[in-house]
Amino acid sequence: VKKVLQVTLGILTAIGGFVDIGDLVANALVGARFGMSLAWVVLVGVIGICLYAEMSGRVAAVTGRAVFDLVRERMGPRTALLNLVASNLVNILTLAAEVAGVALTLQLATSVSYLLLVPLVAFLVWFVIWRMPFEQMERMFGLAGLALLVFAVGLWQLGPDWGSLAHQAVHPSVTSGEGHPTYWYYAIALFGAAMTPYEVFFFSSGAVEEKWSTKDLNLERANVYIGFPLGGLLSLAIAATTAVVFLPRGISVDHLSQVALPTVMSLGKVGLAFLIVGFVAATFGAALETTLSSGYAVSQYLGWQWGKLVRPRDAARFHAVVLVSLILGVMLVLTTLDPIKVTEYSLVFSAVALPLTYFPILVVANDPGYMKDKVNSGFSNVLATGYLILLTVVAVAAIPLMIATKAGQ
Amino acid sequence: MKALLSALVLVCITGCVGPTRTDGDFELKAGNTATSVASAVGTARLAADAAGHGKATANYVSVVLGEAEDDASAAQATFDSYQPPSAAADKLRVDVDETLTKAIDGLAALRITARRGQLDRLPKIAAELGPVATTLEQISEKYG
Repeated sequence: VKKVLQVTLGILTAIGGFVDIGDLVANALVGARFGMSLAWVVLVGVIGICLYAEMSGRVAAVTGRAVFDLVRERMGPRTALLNLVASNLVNILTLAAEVAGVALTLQLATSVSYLLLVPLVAFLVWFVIWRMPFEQMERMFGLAGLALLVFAVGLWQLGPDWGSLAHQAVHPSVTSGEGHPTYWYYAIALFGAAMTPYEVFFFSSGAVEEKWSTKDLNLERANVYIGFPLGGLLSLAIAATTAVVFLPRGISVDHLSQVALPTVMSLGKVGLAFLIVGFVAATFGAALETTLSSGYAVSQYLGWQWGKLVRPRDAARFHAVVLVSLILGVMLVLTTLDPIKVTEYSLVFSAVALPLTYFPILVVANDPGYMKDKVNSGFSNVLATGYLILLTVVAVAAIPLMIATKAGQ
Repeated sequence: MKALLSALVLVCITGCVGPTRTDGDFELKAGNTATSVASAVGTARLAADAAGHGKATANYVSVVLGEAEDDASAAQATFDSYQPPSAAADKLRVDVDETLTKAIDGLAALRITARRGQLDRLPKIAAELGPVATTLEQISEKYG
């Protein structure tokens, strides 16, 4: 049990990153439209996020400083400012979507309109950040997020043709009625979802909050190599449930309620109860991550005192940024913009911001001035450089594909 | 600045309803509308069956059915806003609209029944939507 609790940071980060509201809907949508033919993107994304999250966690453990703190110092204030602005814009969009995601989940349980629940959810997010210790927070939401494993159980209960699912995954092709641009648009959205910038900000800042040091590098790797693949597995399970139930019936996914339907069909009310707990944990966890990440990034850039380890009075500006970010997110949701659309756009904009986030991490992780003998290995660098090229291609292609496909229609 | 404005206009255009200058365009839009509404009907039928067999709560199923009805109504409203370019398109518009209205009436019946807590009645009403679903699929295949 103790060992499980030690990897809750990785689990929370990954569940927030891989199965937040955007991923829940995007994975289900992709499964319903393309079957498992985009499973390879999840695999590529898991490897990429493991690679860079490990780097950012290692940097935090060795230097005792979080990613953004070092980005400004190593890359200069101008480059870091560009990074800060881009990632925080995406962050606010994602935060808005996550707060709406918690409210939409509560709507499934109560049938009360999600718009009425948004202010309550936002208050709870703020209250948890203000009052709950970091470790307790990550354990509560990380472990509750494991309820989403019900997707895998539900899939098994549906009795799918495993051979057909595996064939779709291994021999990816564009399903009839879909175009290649749409296929690639969703590939980019899934990739952006897997490598959302806030994941590394939160993970590395969390490592500092947990006071990891070089002695904790194995723990850090365990968090990365258990947490993120678990998140990827959940993504695949979600896509598979809709591939089995919706794809043959020509049903497209536009709502969170539909994401739950295949599991409800196979596991009934018990499955629904697990899903609601898991949805709340994942979206609430992601709301905490994105809210905190905004505070972390701004405070680290400006050299303010930050974090939950210090008393709020001693990190007043950090908590002010957190509160303002939350209020901006809530205002965006209360405009009645479709939260699912907001989250889909945030995934694509996230893809655009990816190189700005990951390039500085690669630079810092290779700097012996910071890392001493813990710099990247040659293999890591080759792989990370390959990913950086991929991230750049994805960033360049994201907006044109969004326009060409009318955002995947 | 010009490039920025052009990009902004492009992004805005992607969210607008396109014109229908030919019968082919109009037929395609009819097909796409039928596909959307068929998807909403399909979702509603699955949810109704699950609830009727005690697998879903009344709150959950009423949310699913409400969203399906909203989606179908929105699709019909968008379709009705297209300008039919010819007399042939007028006829297609009437035919498709009739099927869409039947589908939305059925979805509304499901939603009302679910909100009254009469979940055991849902599968029967969902079954009555079968012929409408088939017609929608035919329109979708023919024009989509």
